[in-house]
Amino acid sequence: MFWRKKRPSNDFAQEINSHLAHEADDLQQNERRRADAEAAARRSFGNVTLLQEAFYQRGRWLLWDQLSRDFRHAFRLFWRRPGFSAVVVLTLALGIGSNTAIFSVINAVLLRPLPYREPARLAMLWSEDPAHNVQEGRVSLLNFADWKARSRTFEDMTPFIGQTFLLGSKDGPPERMRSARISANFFPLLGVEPILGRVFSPDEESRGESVAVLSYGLWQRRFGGSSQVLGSDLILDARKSRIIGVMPASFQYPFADTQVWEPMTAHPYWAARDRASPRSSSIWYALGRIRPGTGWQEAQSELTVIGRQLQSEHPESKNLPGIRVVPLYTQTTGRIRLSLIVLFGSVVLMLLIACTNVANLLLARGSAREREFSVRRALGAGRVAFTAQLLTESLVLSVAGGSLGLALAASGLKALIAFGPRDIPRLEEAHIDPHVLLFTLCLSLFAATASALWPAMRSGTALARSRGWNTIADRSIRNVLVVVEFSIALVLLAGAGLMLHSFVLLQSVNPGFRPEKLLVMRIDLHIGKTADQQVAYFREAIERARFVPGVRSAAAITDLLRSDPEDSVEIEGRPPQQNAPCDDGIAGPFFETAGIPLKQGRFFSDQDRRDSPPVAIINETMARLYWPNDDPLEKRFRFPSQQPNPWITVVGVTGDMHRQGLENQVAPQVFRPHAQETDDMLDVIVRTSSDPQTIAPSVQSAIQSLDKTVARFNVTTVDQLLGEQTASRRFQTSLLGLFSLAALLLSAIGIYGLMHFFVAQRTNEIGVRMALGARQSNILALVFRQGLTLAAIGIVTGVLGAFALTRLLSTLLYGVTPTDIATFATAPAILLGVASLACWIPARRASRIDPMLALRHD
Amino acid sequence: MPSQNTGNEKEALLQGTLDLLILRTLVLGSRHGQGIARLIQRQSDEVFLVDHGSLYLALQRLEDKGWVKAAWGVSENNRKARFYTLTAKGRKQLAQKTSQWRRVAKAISRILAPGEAGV
Repeated sequence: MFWRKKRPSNDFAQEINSHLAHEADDLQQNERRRADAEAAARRSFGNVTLLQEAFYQRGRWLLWDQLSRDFRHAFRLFWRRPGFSAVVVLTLALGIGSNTAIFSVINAVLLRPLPYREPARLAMLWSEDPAHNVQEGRVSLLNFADWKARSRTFEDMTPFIGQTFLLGSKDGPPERMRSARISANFFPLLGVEPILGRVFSPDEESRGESVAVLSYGLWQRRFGGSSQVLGSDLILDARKSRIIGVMPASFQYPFADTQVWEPMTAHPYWAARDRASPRSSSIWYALGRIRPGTGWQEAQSELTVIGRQLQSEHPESKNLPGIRVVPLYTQTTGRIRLSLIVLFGSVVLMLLIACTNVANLLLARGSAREREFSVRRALGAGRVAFTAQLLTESLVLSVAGGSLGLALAASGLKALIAFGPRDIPRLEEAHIDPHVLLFTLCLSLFAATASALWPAMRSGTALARSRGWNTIADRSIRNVLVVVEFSIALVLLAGAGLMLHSFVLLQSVNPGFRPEKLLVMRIDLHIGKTADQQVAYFREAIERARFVPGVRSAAAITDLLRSDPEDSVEIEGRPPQQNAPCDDGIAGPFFETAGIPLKQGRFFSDQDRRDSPPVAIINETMARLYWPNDDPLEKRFRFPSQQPNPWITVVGVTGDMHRQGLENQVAPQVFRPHAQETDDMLDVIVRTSSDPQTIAPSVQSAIQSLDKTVARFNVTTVDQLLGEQTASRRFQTSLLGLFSLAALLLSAIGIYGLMHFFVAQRTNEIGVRMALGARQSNILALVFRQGLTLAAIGIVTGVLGAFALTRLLSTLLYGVTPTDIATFATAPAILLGVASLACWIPARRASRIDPMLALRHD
Repeated sequence: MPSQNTGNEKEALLQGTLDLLILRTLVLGSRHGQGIARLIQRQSDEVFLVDHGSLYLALQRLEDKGWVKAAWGVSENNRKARFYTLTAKGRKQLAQKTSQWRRVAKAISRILAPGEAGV
């Protein structure tokens, strides 16, 4: 019983002695001498030591006893060999740390459930038209009502739309913010409750009541987190809304920057536009919750049927024919999923290299500890005891490596969040939580087992032989380990090379304009200004910016780095076609400011006014696409979906500009004078003659002073915006590059260690060779041949593996195939170079061996 | 009196009977280990061979179970010895184990009886 004090072993020993004395007393009656009697008593008793051992082992958890002894031994061992231990622990820390960091990200982004009730049952519903490559089209309210009424697989559906509003501030111009116009079933469908107050009811929605639910952020920032906020008024644009609730901080749906949720019927657009909108007005998002126990496949096939029904019932609506069900999880993580999995795969490979390295080091250590093992064996250590001890030793190393790795991961994770791209959802929530800790623990155990497996197994069989640790089998397993290392390193290097090549190709894409020294600011006049006022405002803004010192020219365009094609276009003399160009308004000398060359015709002038004939400048892609064998100048076209839709005459052709991202092909593009196609929101661009950052504040204040009621706006450089576009790719490429560099380093250490050991083992032989007349160059060749043969075998198998694996990368690549020749030539060359470098030091050492000393060695 | 195995007539104890015999020898009063061994051997007319190792492990087991308690004292030979005494719990166990043993012995002899008659 564990609470009773344990009887000490020496008490038991005393009892045995007492027994022997009594026994001797009894025997002395027959024997003459006391010594004989004592000897006889001992003989009759049997093995005293065995009994004492049996007593010691009685009721003890023996395994623990041995383990703690093994642990103590392992600690002493590593303490006495700090260099060896440091290399092993650092290697493992690198492997485990990188795995932990990437796993933390995967845990936060992919594994953690979305913060809604039963998130696995939520899905986005999109209109789609596979024939025209439209996958995520939105839906009209009329169509949505039919979806909802006819679907049996969905428990509920809700429509929503994003809107912006101006929120006045005490000091300075108002702020522009995002709101979501939603239906009353939006919050219940998601299963999210407000932390303060309530959400609105279906009654309030049908009455179009002006009520608002605040985001946690807005509540904190504007109302100091006070509960008095309920019932007070919020001025959105110029309308009053009563605040009725506050959502929790974790709730950021549907947009990450949503600040206010309001009934979709409360917005002025409801009466003006949405209430009676036609079936073709597809501007609403749709979210649904599937019935419990229903599969996505079933829901998809049901909605496909509904989509077809609606198509045939309302052929005039020109709606997209399909309906696409995308589970919310897929919707949020879809784009980032593959690249995270690729990163995870690469760190797992790196860990394998680390383990291989450690296994190799342990094997080398094993042969150095031959004497120790022989002694232990002579003292009766069994096979199990040996294995246990070696496993314990590697466990100590792995746990040390794991702990250090955890520290590395914690700081690495901070860097990942700080430098990671903005478009990874929930990345900023990544942290080391219990799941991650468990993962790291498992990883450490795995590393311990993987790296000690062979050495431990060897120790068992080695017992059968006298010189167990330097057999041919051992040498060949060490060779195999180095080969494996090199193959894995090559796979990683090839992957990183492909990504790097893509990145370089992407950087060298000509954007079609000059992004350097270019400032951009989005100015939103918002509602409440007439078309003439909008034109006047932007003309004046461009004028003011132009006269700021250091500014060379200024202009404006609807959206500098993004544009979506129109629904359809009608070229004069041909039927309307669906493959339509983008249509944007520009103001001021846009092409000169952006640095886009004119290829044909003319730029716009002041003569292209609101009341003059509609004109357009098109890009070369559009000219090539619609008038392939013809002069596009003076040709006419119109957009049937726009109201009004006059014929527009082409007056100029400019060079192509990448507005849909560098990775995408240039789309056909129409530019029209802002005066003829007015808009309340434009990107003003400013070309500066010196550092744009220093000029930005004066440009901003010059424009802001024009109209105090215009919302505050940010000024950024175009370079920065382009950088954000390539941030994801830069992130993946640099991480993959980092991991492959680490792998390269680890395999270099691996082959260095092996060759170092090889030379040390063969000092004798090398001495004999030199004594017999081998030259330094012969010895160098001997070592190099050995090392480089292994590296070469590893590289060849690695190339085969890489051919198989890089195919997984294909969607992440740009401009290169997964079997890119340049990459597959460079990666082996780099590895071979590193291998030669790593072999060189041991080889030189070997070539400088003094034959006399070497022959006396051992 | 020699306790080592000197002839074929001695038998190893049946599995599980050692505990019973130890408890039985302690009914008459406390004894040390060597005394218990000697008594068992003598009372069985030297038929049983008591392995001393097993004896001490058995004593320890009984002590752990709380059937006997032990204390250091001085023996009849004026030597230090560890004396074992039966506890109340041990007495109860003895009674139980004795009747159990009797039932088993009776059953075995009943089975063996016809065979014996045939010999």
